[in-house]
Amino acid sequence: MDLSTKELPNFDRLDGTDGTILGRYNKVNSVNPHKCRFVATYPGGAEIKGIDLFTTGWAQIPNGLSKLRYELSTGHIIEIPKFKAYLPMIEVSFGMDGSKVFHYINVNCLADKEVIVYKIVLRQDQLLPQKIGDVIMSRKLVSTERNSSWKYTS
Amino acid sequence: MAVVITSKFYQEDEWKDISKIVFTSPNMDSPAIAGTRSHILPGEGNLGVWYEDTSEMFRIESYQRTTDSDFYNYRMTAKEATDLQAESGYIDVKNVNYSGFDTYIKENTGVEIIGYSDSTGFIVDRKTKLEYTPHQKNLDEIHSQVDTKVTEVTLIENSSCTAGAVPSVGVSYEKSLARNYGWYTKVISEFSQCHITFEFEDTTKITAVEMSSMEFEFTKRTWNFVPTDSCYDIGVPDEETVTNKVYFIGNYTIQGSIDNVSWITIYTGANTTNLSKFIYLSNTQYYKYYRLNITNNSSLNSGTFGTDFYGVRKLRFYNYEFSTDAGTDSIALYEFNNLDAPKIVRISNAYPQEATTPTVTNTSTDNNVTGQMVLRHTTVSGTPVSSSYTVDLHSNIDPYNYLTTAVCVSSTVSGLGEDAAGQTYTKQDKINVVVDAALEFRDVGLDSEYVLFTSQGFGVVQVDTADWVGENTITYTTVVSGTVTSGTQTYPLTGYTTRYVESSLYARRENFRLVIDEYITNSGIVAENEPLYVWGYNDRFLDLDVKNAVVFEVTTGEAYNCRLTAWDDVTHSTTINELIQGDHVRCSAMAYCCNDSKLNPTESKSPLNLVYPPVHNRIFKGNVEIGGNRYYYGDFDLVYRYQSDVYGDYLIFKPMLYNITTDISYGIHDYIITLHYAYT
Repeated sequence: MDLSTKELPNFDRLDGTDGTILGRYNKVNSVNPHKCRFVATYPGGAEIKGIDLFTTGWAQIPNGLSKLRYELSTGHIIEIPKFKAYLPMIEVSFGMDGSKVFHYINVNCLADKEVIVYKIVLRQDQLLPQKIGDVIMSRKLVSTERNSSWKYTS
Repeated sequence: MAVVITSKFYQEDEWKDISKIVFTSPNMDSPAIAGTRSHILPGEGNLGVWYEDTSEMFRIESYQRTTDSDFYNYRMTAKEATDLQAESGYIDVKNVNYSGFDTYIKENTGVEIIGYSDSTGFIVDRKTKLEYTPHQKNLDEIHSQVDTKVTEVTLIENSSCTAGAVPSVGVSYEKSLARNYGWYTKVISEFSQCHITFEFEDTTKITAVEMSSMEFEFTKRTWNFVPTDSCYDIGVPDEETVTNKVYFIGNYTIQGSIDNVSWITIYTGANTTNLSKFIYLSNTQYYKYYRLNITNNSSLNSGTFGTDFYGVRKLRFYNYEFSTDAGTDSIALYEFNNLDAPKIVRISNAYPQEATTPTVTNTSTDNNVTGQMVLRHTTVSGTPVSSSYTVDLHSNIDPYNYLTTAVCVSSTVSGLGEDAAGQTYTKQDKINVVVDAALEFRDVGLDSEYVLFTSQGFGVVQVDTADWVGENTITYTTVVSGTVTSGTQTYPLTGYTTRYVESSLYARRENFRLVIDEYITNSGIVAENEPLYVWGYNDRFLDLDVKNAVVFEVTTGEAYNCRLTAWDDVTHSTTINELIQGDHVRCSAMAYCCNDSKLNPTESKSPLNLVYPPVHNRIFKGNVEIGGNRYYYGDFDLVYRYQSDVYGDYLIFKPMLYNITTDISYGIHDYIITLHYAYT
């Protein structure tokens, strides 16, 4: 079984805006991961749009971007301030039954001495206070481990 | 870079996509009756594990392996801080979670086998099928070299002195019953087999078994009668020692088991009349349980055997004894204090080390002895007259504890003096001890009717148990007294025994000393009590391996912050689930990369294998973390390895359902195991 499959068998409802996952004791509203993407803006106004949350396309874009924003299927647009570099991570859980839940987009932003993390909420339910489109900010130390997926700004 | 991860399991010579994991009662042995969902009857105990692809179900295990030992989960802690840069040549570790650790290291590093060592002391329990009668209460008595002798004196036809009449010949028997050590049973044709099962401290590869059957002897005495002026006196008897009964070893098998349920026959002894046997076993497997399985012995009560009993007195187990020289290979030892820079050394041998300081204890115990003495006092003519005495003295309460047996023969009638040859046998729990004792048997003369029996003993006993090695120094005094009357009489006796025991015991295997073969990362210090882990793979049917696990494989890209856990349902958000809340949902898991193929992983050199320390039987419960205990497996990164000789990364796991009892409600239960990860 390929975990990167775009099938979402656990979604009870999925339309162009969002979807619903029904559980025994919880109901989860989720973005439509097919309709969420990043938009990288480059000097001069050129934009490169990502594909979706399954295959983001982040690896294919060049360095030198000037701005970064995320467009969710629900209409939320999250603008990320300019930092030295960006490394977004799609946080997902894959069930052995093929179920898949998209939780967050963790946008790591490289500052002078630390990494600021923009955690964009992709789901909401009856248990957590977070709502789709909320951004939870945190920061962490700069990792000594190099990651080729960092994209540097101009 | 995006990531591509696949999940598969291996059955019938090919990799299959995992669709469902199903637990069934163990009696479900075909997909047709196992159905497509778990069929678990509460109270069924061990469960069968099935993996299901899109069309078929495959039974992975008839019974879940419930041992807490596995070859991916060797963990230990550093006994003391070790500076790797100093290259001391060894590192001492303790709290090893597997007692066969040193054997594992030696076998996998090619340490030479130089002989056999007695592992009987590592038996922790034994069970006997009901129709057998174990006379030992103490485990260590299994391998006693000494028989307990219970002397019985029976004058079948007692003679009295009758004037003018020649008494008939009397015969007495003194019977030494060796069968009091060991197990014996009547030949039972109704039962196809009986067994004695031994549980070892941990899995052990037994390679030799030594056992002896039982026999007991009679001392037959035929009495002569010496004519006197008026009658006949009893003279010195003719003595003859005869072997009367032999309990043959007969038909048997030696079997091993990892779970005390399924047994593998290692050796078959067919219809042998051997009284003793040393068997070399071509055993290549580690078992926690071994048993001597007595097969149909109904033929033993006739012909060559001529016995009504089957019996085993001595039973010893042996495993390999290894050289202390370094092996030709080595095994990696990891310290994961810092996942970004783990300290790694390679070890080529391992020695268990005893404690250097003994634990000394002193005990003094007074025990009242209420017993009996059989005294045969025979007077013959002459000056001084000669007397012969035989004394049988033992406690009525427990003849095997503080048992004192003495035989005294004196040539003087006025006093019995001392008999240095007298022997006293005594026992202490867990320890066999034989002590030669000076025997003082005082009689104040023929006119006296009082006898004082004093026995003093001293002995040093080597102690060799599963946990301790050392010695016990035992001194004791037994005093009893009674009234003497001429002739053969049985006297009740009362007295006391005082025992002084000083024990100097060293904790066995307090730690292991690991011989370092290579310092791969020799900077830094491994701190005291720092957890260490061993990598290893062996095709042993213990727990987790590629062929009984679900395998996640990264085929492209990188997955970060991977976490394996369990949730109630498809929302991956709640743990409101009877199985999860009851800690029934567990999992063994390991993340690694390797050399060779996915199916037959071997240790890779660079990078080294272990991506994340393995866990065994980890309780899964969402993202719960309490007091530092994680109820999930993670977090770690999995990346695709692009080197030509490195495969992976892999995450393998095997789900388990534990402790399914009647406390579980009837109905359908399910849960979802999830892999939580992040990618770009």
